[in-house]
Amino acid sequence: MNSRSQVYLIVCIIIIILSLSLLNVFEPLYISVVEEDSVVMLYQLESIAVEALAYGSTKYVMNNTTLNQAFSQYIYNALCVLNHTGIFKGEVNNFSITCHLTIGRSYNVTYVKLYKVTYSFSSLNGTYVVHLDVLNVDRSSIYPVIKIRYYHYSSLTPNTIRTRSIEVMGGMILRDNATIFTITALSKEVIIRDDLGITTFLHID
Amino acid sequence: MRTLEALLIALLVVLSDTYILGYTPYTVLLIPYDIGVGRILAWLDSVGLLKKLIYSERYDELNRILVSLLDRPFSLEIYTVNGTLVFQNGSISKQYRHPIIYVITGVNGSFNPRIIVLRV
Repeated sequence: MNSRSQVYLIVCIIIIILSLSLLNVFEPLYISVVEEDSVVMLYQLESIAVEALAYGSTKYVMNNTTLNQAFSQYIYNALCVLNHTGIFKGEVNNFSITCHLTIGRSYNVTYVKLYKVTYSFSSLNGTYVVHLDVLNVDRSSIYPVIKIRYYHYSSLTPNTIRTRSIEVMGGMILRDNATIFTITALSKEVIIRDDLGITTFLHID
Repeated sequence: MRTLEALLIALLVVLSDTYILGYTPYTVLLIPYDIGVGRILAWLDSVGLLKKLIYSERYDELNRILVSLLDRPFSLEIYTVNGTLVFQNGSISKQYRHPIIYVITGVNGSFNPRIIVLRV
């Protein structure tokens, strides 16, 4: 190999190494590859579960309906449509969706800590979680200032915390970073609604 | 000397690449080939595009995205739950063999289902 070829070889190697390291900068959006096609059904179920949670949580917070009742009502209607389209292909009994609610209490604030939906189809299953944490309450000013952490999580994209934008009723909100928000509570009951329509509340004692 | 020359060329190439990447808006939509067309609608729904485009009636935009993602002819139909056709691109032809059906039930907790039929 002559010296000119050596130069080209070295250049190629350096460019390949640097290109590969540059590729890591990109964060690809992709859904996990599963051999079975029923993974589509998981996405379908998650889509329905999120809407049912939006409907159920809004009814629960605004109308005092039990979460499970409103959630189940939406799921029932949605599954009727799915069954009508023939998507289930006779496997209508092979799925399940359940919804859990956890109420948390810290710094004399009662709040919805967790909405957790678990769903399964065939041998596959998934979880969708709406997470709220009260990190700090500052009562030194006229109105209490509450620092919260709020995000969604789906087991279909396990390495990603899904950040959401939120708006509040009964207070003012500032976004500190992707998941941390500061709320100035103007009333004892603060209602939080995110861009997917999921509603939670904070009750200050 | 030759090594120095090689390093200099590589540096120039990388710098020019970085400059181009830095000033060119880009979106990386990396879809594993194994997903196939069967999972395109599910994937679009998972990233929030499907509901956004359909409920704001931006069907042409959805059509354009599908054209860029699918490398083959397709037909897209969107129905309401009553079976009313709200969007269709082209005509249904016998060349489309695999209908893929995906349902979105609403947005922000509303119940207003749309049935999406993608034929490839």
